Parts: sequence; structure tokens; C-alpha cells
Amino acid sequence: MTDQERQADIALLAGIAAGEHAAIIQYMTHRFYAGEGDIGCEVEEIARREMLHWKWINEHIRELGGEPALERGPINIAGPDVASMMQADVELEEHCMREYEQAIAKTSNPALKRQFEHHLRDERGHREDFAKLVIEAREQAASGAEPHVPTEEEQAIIAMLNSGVAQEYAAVLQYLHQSMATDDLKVSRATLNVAIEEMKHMAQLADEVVPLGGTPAVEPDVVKIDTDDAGRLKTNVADEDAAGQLYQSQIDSLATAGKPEISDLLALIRDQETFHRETFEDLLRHAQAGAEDSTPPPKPQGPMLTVGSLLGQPQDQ
Amino acid sequence: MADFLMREGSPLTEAEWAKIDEAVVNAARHHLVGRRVLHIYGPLGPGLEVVHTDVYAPPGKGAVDPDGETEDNVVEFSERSYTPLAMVHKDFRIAWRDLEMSRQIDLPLDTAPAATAAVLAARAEDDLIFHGNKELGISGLANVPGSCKIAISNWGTSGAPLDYLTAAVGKLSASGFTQPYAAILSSSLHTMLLRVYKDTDSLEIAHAKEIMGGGVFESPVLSDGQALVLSLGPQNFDLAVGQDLNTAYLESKNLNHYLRVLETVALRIKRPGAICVLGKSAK
Repeated sequence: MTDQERQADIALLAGIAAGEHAAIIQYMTHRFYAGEGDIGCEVEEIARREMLHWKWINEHIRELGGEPALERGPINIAGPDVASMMQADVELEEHCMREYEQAIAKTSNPALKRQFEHHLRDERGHREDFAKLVIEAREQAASGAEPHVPTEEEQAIIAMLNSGVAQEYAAVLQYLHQSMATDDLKVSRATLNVAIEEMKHMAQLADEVVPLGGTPAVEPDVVKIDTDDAGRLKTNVADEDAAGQLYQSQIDSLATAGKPEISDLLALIRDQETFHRETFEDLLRHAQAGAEDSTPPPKPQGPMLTVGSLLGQPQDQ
Repeated sequence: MADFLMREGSPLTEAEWAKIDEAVVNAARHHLVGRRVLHIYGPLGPGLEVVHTDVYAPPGKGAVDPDGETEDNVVEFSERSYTPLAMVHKDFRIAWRDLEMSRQIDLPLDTAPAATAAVLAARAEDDLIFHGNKELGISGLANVPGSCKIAISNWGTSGAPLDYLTAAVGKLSASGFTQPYAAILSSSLHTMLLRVYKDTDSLEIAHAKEIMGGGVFESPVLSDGQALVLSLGPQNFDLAVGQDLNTAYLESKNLNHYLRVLETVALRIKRPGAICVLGKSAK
């Protein structure tokens, strides 16, 4: 593979990652509107599959020597009814299918072709699933109630929750980037685990926005990209500390709002952010102390065979 | 990578070294013949200069008795000598402009000089294994004293090669040297095995492989009309490897880069009777 081909493949993968990222956010937003019934569950399942696609695509980018791609393609929330959202998802799947077909034709890398074909099969299935959900959502809408219009007090709570959604969204991207960019297995595992928990926080908060008559935020806060593990972990410690303080202030302001379920949720998330901060503090200490303290010294390498034995091998091999 | 190969101080990148290593090892593996019939002892390290070679008596018998009191029931060497680990090497040059061109326009590095040096080093290793080296006082499989001999005269007659190979196996077997056997033939003798055997529909070489069990090989290193039949096993002979085939950076001269394919090896023949030499002259 020439350097030119490698760069072209990285650019191709980055474009696809942006599409997968858009699909994740669009489908998760639709999932919040659809609630936790059959439609919501199916949409969430598809969104999870797109998360896996996004991860695989970024792993290929790293293997080719590129930086993990955090950009996102355009999304279409559509609405206000769930049926039109599902229709927008059908269209997004069709767009993704075209992208994968073009990518398969463009790349000469057999591993990428295989990966793209794998994803294309998924997207074809998703397109059919969404088409069925359009019909199901229309049937449900016929007997559904009118959407809730938020009061002034609820609008304040929606804004508060959405600030958390945007913050968690940024944390997800930041930690996923770190888990792929680092060469330290411990840091990679820890940031991936925390990213998964932040993703749950994002969904839990957005889930509270829709019943109040709000629209979940779909843009992340600032994603901070550092170039080494020590810098990344310092940033993470500060971010987790700030997040814990933010949730505590929100819990305090909710004390008189009569929303104990939201207050309880924020308390749970605050405690988990504390755990994240402590995790990152431990890793930071480890990184600052020098990995050599805990890593066993490399064993002296003895002489090694290169050609070795050919005993019994036929001459045509 | 070992310091003495001087790779870290060389101007070649890790990827370029990887390409050279791949070319050298693949070329050597393709061309080496002796290693197809020898067990490897080692690697012992590049600094080691000699290795012991123990000579054992021809195969005897294990004891069977009621109380384990049989005398003289020990396998032990009758003679110990020290064989030098000879250095086999071949140098090659990478022109600085070829290297620069490969880097500038992202062309694969042309590893033909490395592969050629590896093939020649492989040939030198086989020469050492089969013929030894007079200057170093080392015998090879084809000229070690104590091997059995068969004179051949009519190898060209259909069926004769199999008769000779069968006779060699019979001689070895009668002396207690057992399966698996392997035959190594000069190019001319090997070619004559690629004929249909008498009135059958199969080639002579197919029958020869069946008889040997350990393979039939062709070596351009053997003299014309020469063949060996060996009873295989590390109890009979092996190849001691100090430094296995590798590539070192030598120097830069007139901007060009000089490298060396090298290894250190010693053939250890422990029971010469496990070798049967076939040739026009049975001396």
C-alpha cells in the first residue's frame, strides 16, 4: 500500500465515521421521543449497532496511522411525530448504504472492503426495520395523546438537563478519542469504560427532557483533545470535578421544584462522576510516577532463530 | 535487535529493515537444503566461537534383565571435540539513490541485492554442511570418515536409482540406523528420478520418497553424480547455530550503504555411520 492509498483510505473512513456518528445521534434522539416501548427499544438497538460501526471504523483509522474521527455528518431530527422521525431514519439508512457502496468501489484494501460490506448488510437490514417502524408509529399516533407543552418552570428544567446532555455528549467523544489514541492499555480500558457510563448519563438525562415537552440537545460541549496521557488525564480530572459540581448545584436548585425523580437521577450521576474523577486521578498518579515503576523490566532478549529449522519441509516451500 | 548488527546507528528505517529481513529470510528458506535434514541446536549466541561435538559408538542395544544389573549399559560419547562455529557471510550494497527514490515517491525498496546475498550465503552454508571446510578442519556429511559408501555406475537405467537408494537404506538399517531416512542428490541424479518408474504410471521419485520417509532433496552443492542417504535424528548429526542468518549494517561509503548477511553455524556429526555416500567412486 502506498502512502497515497493509505491517506485516501483514512479520508474515506473519516467520512464514513461522520455518517455513523450522525446516525447514532439522530437515532438516539428519536429514541427519546419514542419512549421505552417497542419502537424506542428497536431504535436504541439500531443506534447501538451504529456505535459499534463507529468504533470499528475508528479502529481501522488508527491502524492506518490516522487520528480518531470525531466529526459528525448532518442529522435530521424531523418530527414532531415519531412516524416522520422514522421516515427520516429510512432516508439516512439509504444515504449510508450509498456511502458504503461507493466506499467499497473506492478502496483497494481488502480488509476495509470486507468491513464495509459487513456494515452495508447491517444498513440494508436497518432500512427495512425503520420502514416497518414508520407504519407502526403511524398506527400508534392515530390513538395517541397531544404532545405536552412545557410550563415556564419546566422549560428551566429542560435547559438544565440539556446542559448536562451536551456535557455528557462531549465527554463521550473525548473519552472515546482517548481510548483509541493512547498506547497505554490501562488508560485505554478506563477511558472506554467511563465513555460508556457517560453515554448512559446522556441517555438518562435526554429521557427526562422529552416528557417535559422539550427537545434533547444534539450538539456537544467543547471536546478537549490533548496529545499525551498525562495531559488527557489532567483534563479529565478537571472535567469530572466540574461535572460533579454542576450536578450538585442542579440538585440544590431542584430542591423546591417538586421533581424528586430528576433530583435522584442527578445525584446518581454526580456520584458516578466522582468515581470517574478518582479513577482518572489514580491513572494520572501512575502516569506521573512513570510507567516503569509498575511495569516489569523487559527481559533481556537472547539470541533468536530467524530461518530456524526446515526439517522435513519440501523444497518447493 | 542485537547491537553488533549496528542497525540503530544505520540510516535505514525500521520499515526498511523489516523489508530486508523478510527478503533475506524468505530467500534463504527457499534455497537451504541441509536444514531440511538436520535438527537445529541453538541458537547459542553470536559470540560463541566453538561448540562441543560428541562422537558416539554405532547403535547398540538396550538391556533387558531381572534386576537392572547389566554392565556396560550406558550411552556415552567415545570422543569429544570442539568444532568452530564458522561464520558464513555475504555482503551487499544498497545504492543511496535507490533508497532516496524509494522514500521520495513511496516505491517499495528493491530488496534484490539482499535476497541475492541471502541465496549465496545459503549456498555457502550448504557447502559447509555437505563438504565441510579444509581450512577450518571441518568435515561435511559427504566426506566425513566413517560413513558407509556405495559405488554407482548405471544410475541412468530405469529403476537403477531406486535400487541404489534401497541398497543404501539396507546398509544403514543393517548397522542399526533406522527410519526416517532422507536422500540428497546432485542435480543430475535428481533429474533422473523424475522419470516414470519401469512399467508403472508413477515417477521414480514418488517411490523414493516412500522408501525414505524423511524426503528426497536436490542440492546443486553436491558434486555431479553424488548422493547421500542419511538416517535422520539429532542423535546422528545436527546443525549448531550461534547466530542465525541475519543482516548487519557495515558502513556507508561514497554515500552508498553496505550491509552483510551473516550467520555462525557448525555441523556436528555424532555418528558418521548414519551417513551413506553414493558416488561414481566408492572411496
